[in-house]
Amino acid sequence: MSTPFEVLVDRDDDIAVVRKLHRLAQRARGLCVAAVPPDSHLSVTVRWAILRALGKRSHRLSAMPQWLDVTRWLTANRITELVLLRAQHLSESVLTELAEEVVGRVGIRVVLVYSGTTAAATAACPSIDLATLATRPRPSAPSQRRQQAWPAVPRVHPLRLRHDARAKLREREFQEVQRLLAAACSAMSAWLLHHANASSSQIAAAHEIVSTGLDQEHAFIRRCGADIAVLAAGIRTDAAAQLPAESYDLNATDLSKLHAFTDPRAAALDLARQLTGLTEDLLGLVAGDQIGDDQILNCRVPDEALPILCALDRGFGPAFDGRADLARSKRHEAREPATDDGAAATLAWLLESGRHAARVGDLAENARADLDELGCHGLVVNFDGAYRASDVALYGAFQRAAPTPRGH
Amino acid sequence: MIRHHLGLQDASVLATRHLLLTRQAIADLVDAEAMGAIVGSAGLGKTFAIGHTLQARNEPVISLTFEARPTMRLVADRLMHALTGAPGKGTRFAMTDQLLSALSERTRLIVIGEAQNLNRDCFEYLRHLHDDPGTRFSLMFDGGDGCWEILAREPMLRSRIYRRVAFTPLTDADVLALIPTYHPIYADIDPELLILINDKAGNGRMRNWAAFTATATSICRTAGSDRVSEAIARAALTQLGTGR
Repeated sequence: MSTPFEVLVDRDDDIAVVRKLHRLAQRARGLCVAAVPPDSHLSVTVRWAILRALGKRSHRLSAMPQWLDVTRWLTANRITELVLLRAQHLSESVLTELAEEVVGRVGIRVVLVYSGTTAAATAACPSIDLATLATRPRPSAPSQRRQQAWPAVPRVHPLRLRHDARAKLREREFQEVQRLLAAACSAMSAWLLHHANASSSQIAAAHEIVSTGLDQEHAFIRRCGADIAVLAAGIRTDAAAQLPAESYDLNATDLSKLHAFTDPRAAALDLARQLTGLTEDLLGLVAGDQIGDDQILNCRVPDEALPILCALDRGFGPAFDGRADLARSKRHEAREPATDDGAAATLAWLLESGRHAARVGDLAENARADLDELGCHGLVVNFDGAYRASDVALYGAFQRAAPTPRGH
Repeated sequence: MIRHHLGLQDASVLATRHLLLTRQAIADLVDAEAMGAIVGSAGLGKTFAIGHTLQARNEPVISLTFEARPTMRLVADRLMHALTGAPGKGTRFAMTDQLLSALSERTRLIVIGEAQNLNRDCFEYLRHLHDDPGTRFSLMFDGGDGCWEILAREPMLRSRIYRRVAFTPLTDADVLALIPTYHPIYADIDPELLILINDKAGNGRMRNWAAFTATATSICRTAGSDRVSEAIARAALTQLGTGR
């Protein structure tokens, strides 16, 4: 990295050059022009100058901007070329950081525009003139990330999915499915735990959010995860979800406000709130894997806001800031079912531990019918006058290790 | 209404060449959201000409004057206070960011008085704010001795000065043409007496002429005269300490 930069010397620091470069940045894809303030011997000032050029604003800044923030947003905006005006204000140490972080780490071409004398550190760097800079071909922006297709999973009862997927999928595919299933289950469980008095329709809305996927397989796995959480909590879900029907069209002002955030999760939360009309509480359920390349929960994201999605981490964890950090590790504690409890409460009790049993004679007829139905799926066994959760069900509810070695 | 030096009463605003140029320069700067400079040594009427022009205009104006050698931080802080009514907050980069945003909200004119007190960094800082493609303001430096020298020394500043008005002292011809209309005490005044006053006290500088006129008006009142005679003029010159 002996010559990490290109140098453009604008000896008179001509305003016409500055304006031409700003105009160029408006029309050339992948080009960002940032002006270095006079006090840029501090690295943070330069970091912020670049972030500001990308639309970030200090009132939406939660912490001192780091190079990670800079490179994240440069990459998210598909910037391939960064032009820094008034590079004479850059100290040697800042130049070193630029070379390491922007040129070295993310491979962005950096052009330093000097007026007057150039820095000694850039003596060996190739020079470029304005005309060449303005007209040279620019590499096309890398194509949008395409979401990896989820493997086809068997359409079975939610409590069977883990078991059957393990039997049918390749190890790597199964591990991904299992992680997604667990994440969806965990998110739904945590929400239920924090909303002990939620109405049926509220639970249905949360369930619907957790169940939203980018394709059919993804949605099915997530729905199964949400179902497992609901079953383990002993809740009946027969209410319809009531979600906002209308999405909101973003205007230029809305987009500017969104781009002002340095934290991509905060920006994405605001974007999702406006696009979906959902409350922050429900949006806290949304995981990174539910954010597509151009959509949030099946709501189309305008092109101008796509860098926000690009900047997001797409793990199975919460996608947004806000009330996303629910206590995911906690679980409901089921109580021993009473005679008048239905199958839901009984199943929750059975799933809590492999040692729990429910005597057949203690249950109402309709509960017995439902449990017998689960028995047909191999999820409940009726043995010695009592119902017990099967190994498959306990494994499916993440309560027990795999009942059989893989391949059996 | 702009106040004459020393609160001089009954004085009129002289349409000097510099005042007319200042009026045109400010109009041009505002139209182009450009940078300009009104320069010249003290007492030539720069600040009066700017004030007189601005009172007839409608755009919001921020006037800041830095008496001592300010730092970039002070310039940023004062500007932020003038824009928002509150002092700047946070780190300098955060304050710069807030300034850039505030200066993008609407078109306005910023006048920096005593601009010769700014150092290179402060000029650079203001230039940084002005160069930002989002900001919408015209910037005018009102500076005394040394101001233009600082601006001219830096190509990045000089090349951005769209309008420059360099105030110089009134010539004798200017004095003969303009001063008789400056104040009622000069009506029908002997041109030789006017030149004498200019030589001894006025020196082509409006501030000096205001000081002389205020003194002579007071003597006229005491003497029961409504015109400056040679005797009154010499008495005034004596009071001003320039009568030898």
